[in-house]
Amino acid sequence: MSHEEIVMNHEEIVESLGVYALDALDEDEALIVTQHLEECMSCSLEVLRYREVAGKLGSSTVGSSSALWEKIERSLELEVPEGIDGILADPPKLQLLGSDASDRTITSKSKSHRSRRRAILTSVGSIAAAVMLVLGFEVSHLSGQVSALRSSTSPTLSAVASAALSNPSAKVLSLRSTQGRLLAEVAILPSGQSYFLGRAIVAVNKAKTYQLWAIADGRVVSLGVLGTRPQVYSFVVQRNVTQLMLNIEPEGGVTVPTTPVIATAKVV
Amino acid sequence: MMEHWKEASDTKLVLAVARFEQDALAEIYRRHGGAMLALARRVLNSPGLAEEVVQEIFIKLWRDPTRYDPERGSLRSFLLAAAHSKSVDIVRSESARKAREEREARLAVISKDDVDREIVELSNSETVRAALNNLAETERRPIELAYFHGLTYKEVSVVLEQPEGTIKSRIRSGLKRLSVSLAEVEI
Ligand SMILES: [Zn+2]
Repeated sequence: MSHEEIVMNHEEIVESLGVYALDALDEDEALIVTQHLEECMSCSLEVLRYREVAGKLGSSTVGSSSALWEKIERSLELEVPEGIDGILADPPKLQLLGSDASDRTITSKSKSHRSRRRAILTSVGSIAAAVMLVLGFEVSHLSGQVSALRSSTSPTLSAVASAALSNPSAKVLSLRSTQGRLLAEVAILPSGQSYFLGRAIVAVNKAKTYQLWAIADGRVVSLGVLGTRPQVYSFVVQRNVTQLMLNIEPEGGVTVPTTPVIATAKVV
Repeated sequence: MMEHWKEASDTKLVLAVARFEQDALAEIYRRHGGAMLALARRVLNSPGLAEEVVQEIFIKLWRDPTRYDPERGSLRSFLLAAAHSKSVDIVRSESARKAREEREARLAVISKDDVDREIVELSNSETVRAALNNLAETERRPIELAYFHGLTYKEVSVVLEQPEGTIKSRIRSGLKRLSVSLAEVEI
């Protein structure tokens, strides 16, 4: 196996697209093609076409085993950290966002809803309290006022979020750095349904994540863990939020901020 | 509770997963889990590893359903591509010494009959079988070896005793042809 730097010109990349779609390129070549696909529409469409063909070749109507599903179900539950059940004794209201963009609000007590929310709550850093003192916030744990937050590059959610930004009844906020750079915009609809749209957001490495916070009723609460390069997020705000803040935390997020805020927006 | 998901489109199910509906994930599993498992088994030659692959993909989908973008193809091909790529990763992982040994043993015994049989096993769409059979063998075999056996094109070139560049372009032209003949097939 050679460890020389490999270079591929466009013709070579194009010639490799079929092999790439079948996962049959060498790793270093695949990396080059993957990078190229991010900037070349025609190559990326060609790969999509081949992936669909591969899907057809690999598709069978073999029945799925219910034993395996039970295993999967159990491992979904294992995602839940222990010992923080009490925090969410009061089940949050969940906002449903349909593909037709019609919103419904339900209150759910289902186990899976709670686990998802709890998965957001990971460790409470020991330095967190000190940081919060410096920032002068009164810190509280998540109190159920903010619910489901989902990330997306999905066109459906993007479209809904963009529509919310131009909705005249929405509060539109700009999250700006101290230098005034626009990092993200947030639209809060009267129902509390809100959308975060990343603008000039730089990707952080996998060990880190962006996290969105709010000051609500004088307390700092997490609005959610946004991942390494947030683009579009949907979340629900249910009480008086006076300020939004964005920072970068260890992967998985934390319950109180442990690092400086990189962008803020006042809610007026 | 599963009942009302039975009629929902795949995209609707993914949106429901994004809203934490575990039953929607169960329905996605019911629709596509079997095909994913069959494909992973085919590539890995190990039912146990194949189950792990499928499990991992469903957990990923649960954590981040938005990785699936409905404008970029069907959910089924997205999930199958994920199962395939993960299986191939395992087959090729340097640390999986045992898997590699088994794989070398397999490489030695891949025969034409094998390949024909697995397509019959795996693809039960008449159209898909016919489309594959209509390809020239020079295009069909590289595709089968790469896709169903998880070989790299370089390995395919060794097995078929043909230059690497030839294998690359035959796989591409074969897929191109298949994309035309399978255009009508929905999965
Ligand atoms: Zn290109």
